[in-house]
Formats: sequence, structure tokens, C-alpha cells
Amino acid sequence: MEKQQDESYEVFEKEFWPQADALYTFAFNLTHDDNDADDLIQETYMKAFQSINSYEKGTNPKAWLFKILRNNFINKYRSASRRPTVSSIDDVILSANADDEDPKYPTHVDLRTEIFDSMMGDEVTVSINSLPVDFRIVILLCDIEGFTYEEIASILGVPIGTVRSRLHRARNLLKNKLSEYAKAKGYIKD
Amino acid sequence: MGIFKNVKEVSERVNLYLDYELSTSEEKEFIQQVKTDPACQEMLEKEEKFRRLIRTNVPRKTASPELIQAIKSKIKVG
Repeated sequence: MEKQQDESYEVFEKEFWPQADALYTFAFNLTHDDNDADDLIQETYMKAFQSINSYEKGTNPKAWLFKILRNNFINKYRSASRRPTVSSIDDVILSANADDEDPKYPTHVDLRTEIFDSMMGDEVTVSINSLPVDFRIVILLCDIEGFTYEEIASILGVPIGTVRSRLHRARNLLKNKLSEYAKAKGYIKD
Repeated sequence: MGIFKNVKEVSERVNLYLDYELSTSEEKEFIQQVKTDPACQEMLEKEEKFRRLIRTNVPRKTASPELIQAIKSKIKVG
């Protein structure tokens, strides 16, 4: 029993604690609140400790912990609908059974060059934060944390094809939001 | 569009390339295409700028030592 606990502490030291900053970044960008992020991190590590037997030492601690955190977040916040972006996600995701040819989802959104020069940091952050949560999650996992499609599929529990199309739609939606923002601010004209 | 049939195909390839999801041979073929196709090159450059825009505007955070210590204590007590 004591030996098993020592082994658990060793896995935490070598593999789990080094992921704390990446997990915190993910938690903060999901909740936008330091206290909520603290809670999520605490719950994630407690859950990891309780289910450490299902973790295969030396495999992919970062993906394993991100999966716990994401599931925790979804269970906690989606059921409570504490965030407006969370409740609006179903409109986007559930109607997305259609493939990429659906006219609602353009195959490619061409972002005007002026946007890169004129957009202020805050405006970009607001646009990213206004994305439905499932779209924000794939962007955070892929573009910020650099997970592969296969790892993201495992974290979300969906097929790789779904990751690919969700990322595609998330990025296009973000480009549309940035374009709308830029038009509203007069940075670009129609 | 060169070896690609339409904008959709180029866009898909650009994204797979930037996400490091192309095989070595696909990557080689794509880089070759970019060198000879200005439209493809422009799309790649714009997509790179877009990704940079995301990366620079998503805040990176650090878990405080107090938080980690509090969790460590809970784990050891529990």
C-alpha cells in the first residue's frame, strides 16, 4: 500500500506537476476567472490521484490530464449553464452534422490583410472568447498547446474526422468574427 | 491552383501543413507547390499570420506555488 502511494507521488513529481502551467492556461481560458481556474486545477489533480491506476506510466501525461480537466469543465459548467457561450454551443455543434459542403459553413474564409495590421490585442481576445466553448476548446488544444489531431480526439472522445471539421469551423467562425469586428470599427470596408 | 482542384483543397492542405498533420511525402509535395504557386503561398502566409494572431492573444498563465502546495497537502492528507 505504502509502496503504491510512493509510486503515485513519483508519477506526480515526474509527470503530472510539470503540466500545471499548461493546465492552468487551459482552465483560465475556459473559465476566464482565476478562482474557477484554481478550482478546476484542484479537481483535476484530485481526480488524477484517485484514478492513477488507469494511467499508464510514461505515456502521455499532458493529454491524460487535459482530458480530465476538459471533462470536469464540461460536466460542471455545461450542466449549470453558468456561461452564456456554453449554452449557445448546442446551436452550433448539434446542427453541424452536415458536412463541410453545407453553405452555412464556408469552405474557406479569406481574412483581409488589413485585419492583421489594425486589430488590437483586446479585440482579438474578445473574438476568441466569444466563440462557442467546444470551438474554443479545439483552438486552445491545437493552436495553443500543440496537441496532434489524434491526441485531441482522445481528449474529447470523438473521431479524428470530427476534430478536423470542428477545427476548420472554429477557425472560420473566428475569422468571420474578426472581419465583422474590423468592419464595425471601420478598419476595413465592404 | 496547380495540383489542387479548388480553394477548399488548398485551404485544407494549408491547415494540415500548419498543424503538422501531413506525412513527409505530402509535406514535400506541398512545399514544392507553395514555391511555384503564388496563390497557394499567399494563403499559407495569411494562415500563418492568423495563427500567430491567436497565439499572441491567448493569455499564458502560471499556476501559483500556493495552489500547487494546497493540492499537494490535500493529496497527502486524503
